[in-house]
Amino acid sequence: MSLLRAVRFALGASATTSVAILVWVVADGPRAVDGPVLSVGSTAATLGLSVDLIAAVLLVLVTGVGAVSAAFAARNLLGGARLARYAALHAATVAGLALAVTAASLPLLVVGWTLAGLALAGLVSHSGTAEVRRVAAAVRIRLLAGDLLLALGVVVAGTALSSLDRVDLAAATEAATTGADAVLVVLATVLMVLGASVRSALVPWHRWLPETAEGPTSTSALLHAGLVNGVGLLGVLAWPLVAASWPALVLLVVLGATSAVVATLLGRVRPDVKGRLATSTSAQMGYLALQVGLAVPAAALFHLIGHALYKATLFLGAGSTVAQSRLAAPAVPGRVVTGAAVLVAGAVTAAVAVPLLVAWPEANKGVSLVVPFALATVVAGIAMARLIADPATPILGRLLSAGAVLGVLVGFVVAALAWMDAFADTFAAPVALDTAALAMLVVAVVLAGLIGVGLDWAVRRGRLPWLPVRAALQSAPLMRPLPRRVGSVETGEFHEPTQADIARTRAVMDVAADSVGPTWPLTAYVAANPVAGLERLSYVEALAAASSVWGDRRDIGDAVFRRYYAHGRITDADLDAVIGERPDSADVRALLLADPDAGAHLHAAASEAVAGRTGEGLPRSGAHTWHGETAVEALDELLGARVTAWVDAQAAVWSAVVHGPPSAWGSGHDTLYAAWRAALATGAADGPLGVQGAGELVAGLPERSDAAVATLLDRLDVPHRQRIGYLSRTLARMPGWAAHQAWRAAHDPRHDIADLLAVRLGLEFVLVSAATSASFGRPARWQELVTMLDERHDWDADGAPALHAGPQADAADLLAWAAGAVGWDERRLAQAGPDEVDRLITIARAFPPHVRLEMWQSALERSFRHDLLDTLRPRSAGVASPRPAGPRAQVVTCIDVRSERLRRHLEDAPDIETLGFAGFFGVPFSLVDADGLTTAQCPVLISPSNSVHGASPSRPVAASAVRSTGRTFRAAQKQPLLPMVLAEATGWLLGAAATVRTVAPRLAKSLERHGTFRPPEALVLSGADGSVGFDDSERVYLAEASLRAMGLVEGFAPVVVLLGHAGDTTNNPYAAGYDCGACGGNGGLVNARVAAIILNDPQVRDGLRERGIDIPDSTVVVAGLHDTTRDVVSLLPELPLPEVPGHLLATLADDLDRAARATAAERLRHLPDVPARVAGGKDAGRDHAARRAADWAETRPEWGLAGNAALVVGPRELTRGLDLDGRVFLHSYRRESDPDGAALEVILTAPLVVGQWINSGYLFATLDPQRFGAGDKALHNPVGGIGVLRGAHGDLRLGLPFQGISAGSADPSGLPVHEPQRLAAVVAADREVVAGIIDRQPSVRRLLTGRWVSLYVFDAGTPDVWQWTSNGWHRVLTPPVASSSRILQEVSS
Amino acid sequence: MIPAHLTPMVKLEIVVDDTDISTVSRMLESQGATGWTALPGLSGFGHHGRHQGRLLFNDKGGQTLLMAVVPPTVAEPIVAGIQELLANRPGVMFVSETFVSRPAYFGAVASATD
Repeated sequence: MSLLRAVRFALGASATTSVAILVWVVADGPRAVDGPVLSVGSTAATLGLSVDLIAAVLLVLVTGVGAVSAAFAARNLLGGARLARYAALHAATVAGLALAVTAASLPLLVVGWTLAGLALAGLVSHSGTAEVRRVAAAVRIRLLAGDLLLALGVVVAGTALSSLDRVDLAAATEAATTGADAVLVVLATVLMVLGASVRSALVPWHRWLPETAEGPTSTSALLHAGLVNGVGLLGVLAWPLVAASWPALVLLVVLGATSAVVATLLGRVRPDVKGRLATSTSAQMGYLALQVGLAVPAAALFHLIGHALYKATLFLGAGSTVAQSRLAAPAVPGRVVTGAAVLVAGAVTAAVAVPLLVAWPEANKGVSLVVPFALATVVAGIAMARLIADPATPILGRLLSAGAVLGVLVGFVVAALAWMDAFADTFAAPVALDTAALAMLVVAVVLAGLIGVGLDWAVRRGRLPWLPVRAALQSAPLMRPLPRRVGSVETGEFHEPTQADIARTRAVMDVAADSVGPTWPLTAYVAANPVAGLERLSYVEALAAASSVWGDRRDIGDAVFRRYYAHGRITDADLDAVIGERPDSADVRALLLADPDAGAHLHAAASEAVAGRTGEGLPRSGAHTWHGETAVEALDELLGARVTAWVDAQAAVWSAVVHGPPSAWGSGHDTLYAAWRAALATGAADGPLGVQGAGELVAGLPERSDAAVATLLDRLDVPHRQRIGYLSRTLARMPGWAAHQAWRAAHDPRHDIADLLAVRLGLEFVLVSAATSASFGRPARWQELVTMLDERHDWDADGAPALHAGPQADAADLLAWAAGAVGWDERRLAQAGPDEVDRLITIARAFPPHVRLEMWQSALERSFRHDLLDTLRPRSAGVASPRPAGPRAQVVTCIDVRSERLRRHLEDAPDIETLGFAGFFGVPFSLVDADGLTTAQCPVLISPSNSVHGASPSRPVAASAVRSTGRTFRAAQKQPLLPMVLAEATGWLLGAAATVRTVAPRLAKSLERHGTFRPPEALVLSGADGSVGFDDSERVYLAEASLRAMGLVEGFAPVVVLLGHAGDTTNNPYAAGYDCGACGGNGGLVNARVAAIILNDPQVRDGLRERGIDIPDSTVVVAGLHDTTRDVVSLLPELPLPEVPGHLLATLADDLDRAARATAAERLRHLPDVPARVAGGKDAGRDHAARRAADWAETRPEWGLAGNAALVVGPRELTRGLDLDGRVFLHSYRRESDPDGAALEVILTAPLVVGQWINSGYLFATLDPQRFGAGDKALHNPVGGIGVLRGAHGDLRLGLPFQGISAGSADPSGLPVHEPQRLAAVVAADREVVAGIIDRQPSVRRLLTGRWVSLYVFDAGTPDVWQWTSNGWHRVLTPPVASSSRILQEVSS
Repeated sequence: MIPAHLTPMVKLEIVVDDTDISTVSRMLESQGATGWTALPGLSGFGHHGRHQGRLLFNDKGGQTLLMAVVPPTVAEPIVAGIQELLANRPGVMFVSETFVSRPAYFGAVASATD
């Protein structure tokens, strides 16, 4: 970490130095650092540095981008591994680039260039997995190929020129005019252009660039801003040489125009943000090449810098696309804008371009600037069109916005012209193309541009189906499905399955979908159990099922628990208690503590020990009912292919393209199966698949996806009883997209889980048929493949253990491991008799990995739970902390664990009472805001049937102008070719924004806040028709339910605050995960406001009075918001409150503020990278929290719900004054006000369930972050607002990111911050009532019998604690815990 | 006695967990049922224990009765599919004969005698 920090400071210093150098050069002329002169033959090259104006400018760019991305990386990669390596490579890349731009001669330029490329390829493989290393190697090879061409070009140039020094290049080139020399010059420049084109990812060498998304975000920023500018760097640094060779110029124009057009089209089908940005870079580099080829290198330099800043900022800010899609309102229809824009642009271009051409003395400049200025006028046209067509913005705002846009564009024009003038002398070399030729090239370029726009239009309307298919296939990873190209595949008819078959298949698919959990789009993210469908099973069984079906199907490791043991968090006493009294407890303990590779050396001896024993003589495990592999997996094992990975990649690409942000690809089909089938039926995929006739085959599949699944399962010959397992495994190979497909199917009847299954099975069938036809002469079925595998394993008796190996190999493995675990050596094993061997094998079979995992888990939970119960026990019997009598305020917070801290600090004021209730405050509704955006403000368990409308008062003029300007630029970004001029026009602004965000994040955030300020909407709760809002009886009903559930039916304070909560993070795809889970992953303020409106309503109070709840007229209910990231609490009174003395609210606000500050200070202690001064100070905590909330590179703005371990349902007296360290959900409940248990039933069937989901989400993400969590945030690549990919391709990631549960290497203990504990529910109520509820509520019962949740009850005033088990109530005896090992502390009052 | 002009149809009554409603409804619709009705919030007792009616803040924790009336030809595959589902899920299905006066409304193909 310190090396990365050091690099950051060093680069920052070098950036400032570069600015100084630039000033120096501008004032004093070029500088040089002399070095040795390399002489080869008659050619000389100085190996030193020369800094002229161009080099100085480029040096500032390179070091500036390097510094900003290093600063970003220093925060963003905190807690990761291999940071020293990252720092070194980052520094090397910047050093290489700096060398390349300041090199005095071309050979030295090539050295720096190559060094930078090698270092960058190393950065791409930062995460270190095998797959990523493979990708980085492919990138490295391509870069080196380009570098080789470049080097070759320099060598050839050396044979023709007398000097390769940049300062002498013009003279040397002029001198090389003889026939042979001229040819050599041409050859050299063509080679150099080709080499630079590979570096710049121009078409057709563009495919390596999107792959670099496998590296962290900061690497992409450095790459796209610095390294990829090959053609630009070549053009400006070696301009005299390039200018002298007209083939090179023409080549640049041809390659550039092609890239600009083709890459733009390719960008249309990229659903992921980083992929889109990468293909857009190829297009922008094409434009850059164009500018060099059209002999305006000064413009090229301008574009290079603008684009670099533009792209770097967009990459670093890629995480905010999720939030943007959350807030994205329906924009002005695209067609209106484009049509009007084109008309206006045409007129304005003509009016501007003609005088330019006529009046400009240097025709070059005039002719070549037509293109950017034309594009700028189109943008102006769009702004004008929006001015006319955007009704949501007031007139003044629209005028301001139009003014801003025009100002930026005019500024761009003026700056461009000034820039050209400033660099006129620097690029004064003679150009090998005359004006006429240049003009023809410009015309050609404009034509190409028009063709590009036309193609784009055609693709959007589905007129060119083959193009997006090729593009979609290209966006899959660089791999071929089959080892070699195979011939054709049998076509033949697919039989239409019977309706009964289809119905049965539908049932099978539904059961198979159990194995993938529910997921919501990231815009409304709630931590949930990734294997929720398996909650029908017990926890242990679900662990076994999940680990055997998901991903690479290895067991979930218990390494994290063994670390807890090593740290003493799990003690021997815990293990003993979990193992229990049994004769072989010593052996069981040994098995628990054994490494996975214990006994590896005993394999041979174990095989001998079981040799000669027939299957019957050996203790058997449960029979396998399913071999566990799908047809393609079996194929891969038999043929050594990677077909399964390719199918995974293809299914992921198709899912992303169809479900991702609306692409312009108008295939006419909006469901996955229909789009895929139509695309493949065109035959365009036959080539990439390597299978002739694939298109025909797919065209023959049934139209309906469920019929397709039925018929494909038949053709693959999967027996009926194996189909559930087969389809489970198929889905669990890509659980992310499968879960998303299931979500879509639940919300939109056009979509179906069958779509995804049909696509996968279709691809599998095509590839399996083709591959087996080629290898075995005829297409094989699944059964045959599995049989072939079986037979092969029988022959490899001494090979690695197989899934379906015979009982002998099975037993030998178990024996070897068990023997190693209990400490036997080879001799002891050889001496062991058959009884001892049997005993060991039996015990190893009785404690398979998932059982041992659960035992470890119970051991971890034991001490926390005993500590909690022991601490609560004395408080339940007596009344240790009485309820405050006559409180001056009652504050109701969400049960969220973060509220525990706030409530504790708030209660330092003795006359404030706090309560806990689910954060939606009992009012579930759909919020329809002023832009028409609908969000469900309730737990995901509920489908709201009420809606509330938000009517937005008009924004301040400045904010509306900013919003409209932003929309104009975003609309322009979506048009083809306009991003070229946007990069130049807005790049500088974005670069400034990026610098401010890096250096002063809070300032940047407050500026953004002013720019986007939305005053709170007025809420409309009742409309003319009954559909909006809540009617009177509903209001009374819900109000009563909530108040009774909380136990707040009497003793109301003058002020009751309903405190919703939300997080506040920047550039964070998982922002919704910090919001209120009870509000469906949204902020809770609007629920608090609606509940306050209802509870303040006099008619509702009358109704409540009739039902026995008397709220005094003097009581006022106020809504508020707790910002959990910055720990800021704000109250939002709906109405003027004449009854409440002003000072009451003011004092309350002060108390809330004080408590929030204390919460911040306490909470921040647990975050990594917190300066020491924060712990002591009062404001220091707040400031630091605000910095974390505002910093766009921060991956751990707060810990959210990490650490959650228990839910306590009972009066606050039970827990008041106790420091629960933000780990407990607290729900208020009084059994006295709930005689029939109705309120408790509500609590146990809703908040408990949601709490368990959140707990499971954190739990599984901690147990196995790669499979059940989303992994490293730095590698995340958002797909619209749906989810993130890891790297460039692949499955959608599910679950919490690594940075949400662990501090990684920033925590010296190596333990995750979230302890993987299941939820312990502690309830203060009557046992009979609780038992009755469990008896009649299967959702709760299942969780308890399956041991997903443990339930403890403090019965009416007795000191005993009872645990619910399926065999009845079990009294929990908690041995006294030594005070030193107490986890929970009593807060001294 | 059943009036003679009424047409025999098959009535399906299916009790399933709330989480399986979409599977059953999709099956019904895709097989050609022209409509179905859902009665949520069931209470009852069965092989999986007791369960008690509609929950206030949980739409997914209980059981629902889905009813549909379909022609016999449509009923066959639906029954096959639901049987497959109930082999792996809690729930019951009752198939009974019923009579309707507007057979076309329920998807029956017009017979020659009409």
